[in-house]
Amino acid sequence: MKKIYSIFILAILFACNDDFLQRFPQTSIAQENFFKSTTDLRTYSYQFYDYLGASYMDRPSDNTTVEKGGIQSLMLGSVTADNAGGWGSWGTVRAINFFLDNYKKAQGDAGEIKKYGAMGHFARAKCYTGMVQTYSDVPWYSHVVKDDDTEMLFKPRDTRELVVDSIIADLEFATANLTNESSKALLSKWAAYTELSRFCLYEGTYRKYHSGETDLHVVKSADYFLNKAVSAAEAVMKSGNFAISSKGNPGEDYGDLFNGGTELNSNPEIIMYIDYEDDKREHGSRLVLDFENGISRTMADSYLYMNGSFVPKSVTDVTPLEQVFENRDPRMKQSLYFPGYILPSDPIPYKISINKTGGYGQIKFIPKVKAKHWEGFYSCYTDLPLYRYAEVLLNYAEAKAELGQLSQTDLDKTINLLRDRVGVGHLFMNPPIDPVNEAINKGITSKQKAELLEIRRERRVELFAEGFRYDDMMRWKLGKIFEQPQQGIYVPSSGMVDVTGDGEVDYFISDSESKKPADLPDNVSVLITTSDDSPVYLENGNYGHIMFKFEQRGIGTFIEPKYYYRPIPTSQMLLNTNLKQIFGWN
Amino acid sequence: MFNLYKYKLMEKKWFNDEGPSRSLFKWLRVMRLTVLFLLTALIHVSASVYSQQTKLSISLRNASVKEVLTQIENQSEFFFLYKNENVDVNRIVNVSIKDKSVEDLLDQIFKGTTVSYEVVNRQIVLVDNGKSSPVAPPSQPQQKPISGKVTDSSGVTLPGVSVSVKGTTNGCITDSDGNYSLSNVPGTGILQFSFVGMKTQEVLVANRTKINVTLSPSIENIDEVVVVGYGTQKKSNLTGAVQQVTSKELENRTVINVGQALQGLIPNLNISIPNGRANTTPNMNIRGMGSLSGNEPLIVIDGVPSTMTEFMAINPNDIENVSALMDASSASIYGARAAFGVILVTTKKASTNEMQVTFNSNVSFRRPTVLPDYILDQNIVMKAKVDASGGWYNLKDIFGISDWDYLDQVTKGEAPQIKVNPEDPTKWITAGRTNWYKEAMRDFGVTQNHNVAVSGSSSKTRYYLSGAYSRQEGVFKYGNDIFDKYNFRGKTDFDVTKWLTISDNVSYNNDYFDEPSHGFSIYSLLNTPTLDVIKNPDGSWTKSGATIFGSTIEGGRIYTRNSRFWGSFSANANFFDKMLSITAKATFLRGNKELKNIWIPVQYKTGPNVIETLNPILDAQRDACSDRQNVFDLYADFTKSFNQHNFHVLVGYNQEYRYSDWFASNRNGLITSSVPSISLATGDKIVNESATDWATRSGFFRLNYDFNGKYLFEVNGRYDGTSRFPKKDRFVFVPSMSMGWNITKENFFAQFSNVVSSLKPRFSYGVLGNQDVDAYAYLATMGAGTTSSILPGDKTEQQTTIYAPGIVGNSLTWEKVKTTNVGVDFGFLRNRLSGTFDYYNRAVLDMLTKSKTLPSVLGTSEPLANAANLVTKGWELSLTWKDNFKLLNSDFNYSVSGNLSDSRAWITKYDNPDGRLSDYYAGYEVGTIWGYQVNGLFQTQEELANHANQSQFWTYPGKVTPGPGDIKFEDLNGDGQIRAANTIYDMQDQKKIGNSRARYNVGFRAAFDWKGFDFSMFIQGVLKQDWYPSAGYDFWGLNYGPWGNLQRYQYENSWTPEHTDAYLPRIKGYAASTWSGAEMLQANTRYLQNNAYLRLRNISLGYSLPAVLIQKVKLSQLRFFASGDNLLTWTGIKVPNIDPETSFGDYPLQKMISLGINVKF
Repeated sequence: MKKIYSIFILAILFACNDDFLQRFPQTSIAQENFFKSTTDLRTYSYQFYDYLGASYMDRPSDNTTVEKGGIQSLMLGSVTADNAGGWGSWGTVRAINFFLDNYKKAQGDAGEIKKYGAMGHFARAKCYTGMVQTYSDVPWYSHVVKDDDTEMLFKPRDTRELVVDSIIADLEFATANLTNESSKALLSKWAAYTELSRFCLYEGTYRKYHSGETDLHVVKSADYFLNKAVSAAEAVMKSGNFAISSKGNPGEDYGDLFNGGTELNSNPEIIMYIDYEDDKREHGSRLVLDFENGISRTMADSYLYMNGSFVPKSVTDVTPLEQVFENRDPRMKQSLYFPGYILPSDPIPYKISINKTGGYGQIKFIPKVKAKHWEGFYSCYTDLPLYRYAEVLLNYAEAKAELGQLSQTDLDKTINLLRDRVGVGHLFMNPPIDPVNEAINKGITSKQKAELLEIRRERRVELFAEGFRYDDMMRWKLGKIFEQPQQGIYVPSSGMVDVTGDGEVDYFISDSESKKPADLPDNVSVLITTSDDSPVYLENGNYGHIMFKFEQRGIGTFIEPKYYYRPIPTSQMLLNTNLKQIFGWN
Repeated sequence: MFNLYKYKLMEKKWFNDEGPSRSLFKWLRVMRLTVLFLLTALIHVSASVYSQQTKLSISLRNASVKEVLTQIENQSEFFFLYKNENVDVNRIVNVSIKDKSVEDLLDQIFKGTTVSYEVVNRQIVLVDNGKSSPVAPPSQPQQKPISGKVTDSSGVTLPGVSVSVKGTTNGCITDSDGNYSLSNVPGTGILQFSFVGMKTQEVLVANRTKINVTLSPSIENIDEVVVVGYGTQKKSNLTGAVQQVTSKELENRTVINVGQALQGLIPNLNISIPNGRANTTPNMNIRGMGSLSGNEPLIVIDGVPSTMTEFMAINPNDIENVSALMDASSASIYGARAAFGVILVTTKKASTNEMQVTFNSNVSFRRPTVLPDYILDQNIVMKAKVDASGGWYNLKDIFGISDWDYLDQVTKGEAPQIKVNPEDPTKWITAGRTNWYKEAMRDFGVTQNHNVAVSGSSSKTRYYLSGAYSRQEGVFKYGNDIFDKYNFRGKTDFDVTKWLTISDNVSYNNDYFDEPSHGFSIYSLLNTPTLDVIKNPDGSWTKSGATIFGSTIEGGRIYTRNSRFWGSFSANANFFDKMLSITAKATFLRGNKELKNIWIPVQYKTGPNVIETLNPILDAQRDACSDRQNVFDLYADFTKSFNQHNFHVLVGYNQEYRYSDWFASNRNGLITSSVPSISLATGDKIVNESATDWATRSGFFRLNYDFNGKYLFEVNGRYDGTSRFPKKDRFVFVPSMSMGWNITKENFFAQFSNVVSSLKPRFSYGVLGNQDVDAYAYLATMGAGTTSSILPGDKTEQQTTIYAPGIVGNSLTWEKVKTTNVGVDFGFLRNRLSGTFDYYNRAVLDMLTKSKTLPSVLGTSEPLANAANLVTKGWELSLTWKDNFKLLNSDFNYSVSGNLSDSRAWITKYDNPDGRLSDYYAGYEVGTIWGYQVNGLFQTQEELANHANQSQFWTYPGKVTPGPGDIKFEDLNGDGQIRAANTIYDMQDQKKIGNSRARYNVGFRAAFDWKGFDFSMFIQGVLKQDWYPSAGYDFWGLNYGPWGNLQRYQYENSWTPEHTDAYLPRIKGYAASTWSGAEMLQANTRYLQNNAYLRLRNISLGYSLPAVLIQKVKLSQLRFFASGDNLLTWTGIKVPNIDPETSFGDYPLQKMISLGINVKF
């Protein structure tokens, strides 16, 4: 009987009230309860900012020496579809599409809702830009893909044409619906215009210099994008909101933009910047000097004389470090390590590690004051520019010159404004051609080639270490440059180098121990290039520019057009057999 | 001697006579066979019924009386008791009866003798009336009468115990209530209590007149009682696969938690202890790989589901026994959470004895099991580092100056180990010989355990109270970690009426871990260069010194405190003469964890005037977690027997709710480090919380039937509901059945009974559910997070953002776990050799995993679905030999036992028809290691040039040119290119080279006791397991990177042009790092390690002072012991100083020596 009774109790407990077994999360939000207000949109949109990053180094590119990252593995044939990782930022695409699929549900001011939508479109464009630059054709998704949507999941690549058009549509939606922002840490209409001009310039020049590559599935002409680049840049220029920052100190104004020397939020040149704060968000920009980041001779040689003329090869061939910086574009000493340079953290001049770097080092982005920047590896908190006006001007000038429409007026409102800040002589139409610069920039097809060569030089110098160089090399189809061994500073046959600028020898470099003077002071670092543990050697045995043994052992081949692209990993090819490798990656 | 001799003790079926009181007096069943004596006396009425009902048929010619009695015992449940020397059992008789009562038979065989018999239930006492010995007349005037009661360790009274005054013929036998009385005992006399199956005990009389004695068994497992779900069962009646260890095997291990003591005791209860930290929770698993979604066993402590952490927090000395329910049949009473077995923990019960106090105390001294062996000579070390960094760094990069001469001088001791850098006078240059690991270690860490327990009873109350304190100090010289643990438990049973008992079981546990906030990682001890020194010439820390020692000493502490209150309150009522028993129980757990942390910056100097700061932020943290669990049980137990049919029914209801939350706060900018409160800080506040809850509600039943103890059947079932699944998929019914056959009870088996004492094949089958998913796995929710971007919102800061939800499946429901189990329990040679063997096949169907791998364009994890199947097959064997003999007139008891188990698991269904190796596929054996064939190293450049292209695995191509001494992968498919496999159908140059799962887990124990000495040793191990060393300095040394240290083994066994047959390849920095190529990390046959090991877990020697000595100071036991743990290890790993159990850089496992004392009074 008792048994029956207890079974009866059980029956009651199961039959009624299953609240006990219904439990809901207490510290996360159900999808249905979100996207109600513009505050929700703003909250969600904050994550888009985490997709944006500023660079403070040009690795890998021909601006640097030792660390070529994946480029060397690629050129030596070690990269295959089997071991290549990557393939897309699909998590980011989904997060953005989830927002774009839902943001219109919010109640509130229509303009504000559109503004947040524009942020989503901008973020998606930015995300896809990276993918197009890596893989060319990629599948485009404008909505969240569901796990049972096999058609979308297993679709082949979309053409570059389609994806690029979609990116531009996203960016144009952003320029139309974003607004002026009170803070330059926020995404504004002008940042979107800058991105639009950057992307259109990229795509325009890409189509121009890569035309004829099989597997480049495009229809529209280069000029279509170059014109868009011009008009987007023009929009920023005509807004009147921005100007080249100058306080009349040619020796500091440029460098201060990158080393905490000026407040970026109020700086007229800054379109958007990334805010860093002590203990909260920090970067490692103090590591740009040494730490596997050496600067190449071709970068150093790009800086003009004060009067605006280039330095002939006959001079750069024999000038030791002590004299290199004389009479040069002031941006050089605000970008590159020079003899006598003192780190804010140190009491005495810094002695660059020339055996690692080749002797040229980077100081652009090193914090200007000591503060706590030196307390850890990634402990710098100087704000970093993300979009600055100088780039807009350079985009404008380059697009114009590629279109063959550049005029002196254009130069005066772009390149020459940059030169004015540092007091370097102006660029004029039909400038003399620097054979070195011409050799680097092979294949220019514009009728304004002479101007274009100088505009490219200006871009390399002005935007040094801001992360543009690799993308520029790719769109100008300069991959073959990676086949040329890099060089560092020039070492005379005496082997004596003074890197600290105090007139005392710091390094003795030679191909033979026996050439070492007997009375060399203790504090002189000795580098015998024939020794196994020397990573460098001299161009001409016992004198010449420093060169690198790792490149001597094998520099590889930059296979065109294959190496402008990366393969889709085999694992993804196996999952989706509709994906096909292009540009010979199979 | 008046000694009652039991000729042979058979397994008896006694179930139906136990009466209907199963559940109320459950404790009654935790006793040895001797309980029969009590029961026969208690239930007299049914006795004669049995003797009249039982009909015997025996026909023997020229047989001894002894043989006839044996036959009777075999055919029935009768057993005989008689005085050894009085009854002549060797007399030859002829017997021929058919379907007669036992009385008729006995009348026949003793006809014409003076032997008479008395049938008491199933016990038949034979007395030869013609030979009764005269009782010695009183001879000493000071003698007095003594009386008392004899019980066994579970408090059951023992009838038939022989009590005598040592050295005299004065003696008697205890009556059916276990009482005895003797007259004329001198105060100096020693009472001797002896009983078959029990250890003889001697007690000094002194001035007492009442002496109660508890006898302990000499040979166990004659008929053990085993704890099962919601009750107990006699081992002989068990049909499921259940393994049990008792307190005897857990006692006196000087362990900080019970997980360490359990390791290796139960076959296929696989326990791994990941490191040697005092508060580490071991990993437990029953029968190997369960499901891809998890395979934790359910832990039930005193009937209440608990977490592993809670299990580890209880006092090991409180544990009476631990049962592992291995198969579906035994586990299914716990339903869906028991799919991968149940660990049942029962604490010691309130005793029915007089008050007894137990005190145990021990202290241990511990050191790490392995110590690294580094080369410290500065010039050799530096040479190796420069070699290892070929292509990257030269001497100056690593050392700061290019000066081999200084290194040579300092190696010879002719130069200081630290000096000002001649090239940069602001910095120091160091060339030390610091073995950081050795510097950091104390000679030994100390552990102490102290435990006191009081148990006893008064007329209506039984109680057990215990308290314990443990302290484990870490093994470090500086900034040591300290773990303190307090445990209290109180249990009371109170008989309200004859039919109602109320009980409580309350425990409180508090532990406290105090460690440095910047506890240097052990990893850093192993890879901080030996060339660094601890302090600068001016006494300040160097950077390494500050990182390792400065921060542990000065950098602040973390305090973690766990407290748990756990109370179970129950009532048990029984009705209808104990036929029906109903139990209601409510259990509440309240636990909380607090964490307080402060980080204090530490200063160091890199040069005479360069002061730098390590961890520059002065920061305080305060976290709190809380747990609450409410469990309600109601179950009824019904027992009924008629003729030889025995029934037992259990029906119950269970509901459980558990809530856990976590709250964390952090603030920097402390005003003072002396008061590390977040309220006394000025910096940013960071707060965070999470909370989870879940609920289950279930009904369950068990039905047992047996016929005469011979044929055993059991059916279990449980209807389970959980909050973890959506409403429509929330409930599941899990049934199971099992059966067994006690072959030795068959008449035809009697002829083997001298050899085979017991033999019981078993079979079970059941389907369980598994619900091991996150609490809200079926709901799509959007989590919150903080941006790294600092943005102007309401305030310029890192903003809170909300992330997109993942994809959840349309329906999620229970995994189904089907287990088939075939087993046998056996005992040979009067159960001196006993054992169990089980084979099982456990199939997990509808495993909760991703249904299939989707292209990464999905952008998130694939949703969980009930999509895959897995099968685990294995077996477990345990064997015990126990015996005793007389050595120099004293009992020498010894036992040897061992267990061995194995399991393998295969995926049997998975949506991966292409056999992509990046995923599971049908046919995949879990743990498979794919790799390359490596027969040797390249010896020449030509060999390398002519070999297949290995460029995919080149380490930083261009920086380090491939060369002699590098690993040579065999081109198995001969295509001239070494490539990895992508699918099982396209293996390229890879093949199966091993399996990473532990197989053949083994435990071996040997013990003896003699003349007060006891000895035991215990070896545990894994006999088969492969391991391919992962990236790190432990195995690969400088091949991982030039910043580590030079191990002696690497120095002596790496390829060089002079040492071309070396085991290890040439030293090549980063070749074993994950960054690029990772050629040494490509699993291959040459460097695949045999991770099998055997470990001498424990060896212990104790001595108990003779009873007669300690009784003078009113003690009943005084024992001293010394033991050693983890003293010896055998491993197959080629590189020395790698512990087979602990991962590199984790808190080291320790060996220890302990001393202890056990006192009872």
